[in-house]
Amino acid sequence: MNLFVQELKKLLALTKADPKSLAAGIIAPTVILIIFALTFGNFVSLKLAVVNDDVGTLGAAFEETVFSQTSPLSGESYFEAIEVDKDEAQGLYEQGRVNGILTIPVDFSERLESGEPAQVLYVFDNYNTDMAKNLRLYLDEGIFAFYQEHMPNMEIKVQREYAVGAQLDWFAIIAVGVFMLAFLMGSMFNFLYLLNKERVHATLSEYRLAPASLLPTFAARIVVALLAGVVGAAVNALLVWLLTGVNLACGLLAILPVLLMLGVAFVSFSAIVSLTVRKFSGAAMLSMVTAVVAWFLSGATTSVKYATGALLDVALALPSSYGLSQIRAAVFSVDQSVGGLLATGKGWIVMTVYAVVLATAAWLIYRKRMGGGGR
Amino acid sequence: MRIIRIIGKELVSVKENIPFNLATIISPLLFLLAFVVMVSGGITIPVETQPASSESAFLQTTTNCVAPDGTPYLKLEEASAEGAPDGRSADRFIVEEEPSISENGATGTITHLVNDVNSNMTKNYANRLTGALVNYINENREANTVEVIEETRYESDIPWDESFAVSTLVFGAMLAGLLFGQLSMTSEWENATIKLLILSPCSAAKTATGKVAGACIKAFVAGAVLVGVVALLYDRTLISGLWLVVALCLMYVIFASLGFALGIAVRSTMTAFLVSLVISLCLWVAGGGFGDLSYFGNAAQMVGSVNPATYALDAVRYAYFGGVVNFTPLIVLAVGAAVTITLVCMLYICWLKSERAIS
Repeated sequence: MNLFVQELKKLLALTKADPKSLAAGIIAPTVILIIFALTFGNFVSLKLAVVNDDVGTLGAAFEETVFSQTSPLSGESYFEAIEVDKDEAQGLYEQGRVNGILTIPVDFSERLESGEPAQVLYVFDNYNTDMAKNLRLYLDEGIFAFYQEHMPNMEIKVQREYAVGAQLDWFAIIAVGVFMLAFLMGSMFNFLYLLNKERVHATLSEYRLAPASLLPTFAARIVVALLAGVVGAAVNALLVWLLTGVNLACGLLAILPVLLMLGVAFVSFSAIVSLTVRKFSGAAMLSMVTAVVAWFLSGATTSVKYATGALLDVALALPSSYGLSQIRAAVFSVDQSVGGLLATGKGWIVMTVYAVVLATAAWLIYRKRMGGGGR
Repeated sequence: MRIIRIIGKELVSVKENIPFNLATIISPLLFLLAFVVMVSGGITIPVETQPASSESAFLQTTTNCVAPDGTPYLKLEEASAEGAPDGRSADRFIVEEEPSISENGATGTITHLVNDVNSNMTKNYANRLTGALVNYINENREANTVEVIEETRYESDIPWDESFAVSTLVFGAMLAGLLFGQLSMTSEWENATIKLLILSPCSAAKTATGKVAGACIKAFVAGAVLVGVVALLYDRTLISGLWLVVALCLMYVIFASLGFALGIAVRSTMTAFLVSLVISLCLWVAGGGFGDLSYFGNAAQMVGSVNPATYALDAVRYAYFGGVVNFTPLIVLAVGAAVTITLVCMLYICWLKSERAIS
């Protein structure tokens, strides 16, 4: 116990003397969160240039319905109209300042009033299949609304009901994932950084001469790493609250055990990689990158619910998928188990197995690499 | 001649830290594979139906609601039982009253039962239902309908996963440039050769240029591996190989220079690595790598206009997919490269002077 305490004090002093190990775990996820806030927390209407050549009134009515449909994601209109003439529209489109051009021809009203189908010309940037799908379907929203208002005897009703207790903003869901990433990155980086610092200062040789078991020192390193992760996560949680209003403190009692288990698993993983591979920096780098990639694959930005095939298999094999599901469930008070796919009981088994196996492996490698007598 | 020797030394130093250099190649590869797998499902999402699609003419025709390349927007699954779906179930379309479309009118009631807390998915399902209804109405009547004549920038929609893979090349270029650039300096501290560097009689500008050039060459090799993997994954003929090479090389120069400056500032490979990873990821997302910038607000647009990744993405996408020829991205990157390497050389000269004064 004494050795554990002494090692703890030493590592805390080392951390205090070189706050870079903490700053990195705070600044990195903060920057990631801000960038996601600027993008996924800030959806706006897609810009369309509109050229309305229609001589009747239905063209204007069509334009009005297309540009007044609102998205359940942002509450904003799907489209923002930029009313210009044909040449200006083409110029804006070529410059990439609008996503497309909607041209309502001169005979739009005439054709509809005479019972014929009308046409509109839709020029747009099919940047990728997702953007193209959105541009097509957003226009369909406007067309359907136009049918409901102007098609005689149009009585098709679309109702929306909810089988879930809430609707959450996409960025808020991602932000809770970034909170978990902040904890993991902060923990892993602290462990790696302090170990590397002692390697550079050549104080690791003292471990080889230690008469006692190195287990308390290993445990102390894990504890300090987890504490560093908590600091990073706390700062990130404050930022999440400021940006989204989501209060992570509400679910703290449920969140902390999850973070503890994931932290032990990920820090142990980074220990294994960095102590096994000869050159520390490359190994450390690989373990951090793997953690970020695992974060993405665990449903950080898209739910595991829609994953299929290899993606689903990978997601279900990662402990962070279960951890993230439980953290989100605690924060948003909604079931995130995906119908049992990420069930709490199963999640705890997976996370515990990862933590125990990786920590054991990390300890064995630590003992071997650091040397020492031990009993 | 001295620059050649400095470049040679930087290339030979790869042997000193093979794991780091391998990790610099593997890291963007991991991201590439992860992102490609994440969006490999494309634009098709599952939906439960009530009743089964075979019992509803409308539901049957939703399978005709497809993208021009034939990819369906919806994959229909029969709802297992009436009542609330479980957490694993997709959203549900319930045909309360079968839509009936004729030249005289249209009736019907459809309920969209939302089963995902994510409002983005609610939007996705709502859009697809509306699209299916418009498609059904247009197929069954002519009067008072609106037909959309499309004219798209690209002949066919660029597949989402392929678009992602190509944009990951830019992420890889930034990460490799930063990592190799910072390593060219941090390795001097780690190998305790920093004093030799400070006291070197070689001109500071040549040293800086040589180191950045060495980092660029290493980044080029890393980029070539990524391009090769993308070529193996997707059978697409490049529109312009020259655009690709020029755009990526200019990015290597910019980010190797920035990495070099980062290495001087931070002095630790570990910290510099984390900073490099975060910078690359953030610039890539903020440049439109994860989603087109037009989705995002004015702040994102402003950041995008000064972000080299935005221009690199435009150039690399043109190299693969064609579109409107626009030299602006390459010009901006070229100017950026020239300015960055000049500033970095000046920074190195100033740093060297201060270190020599201390020494």
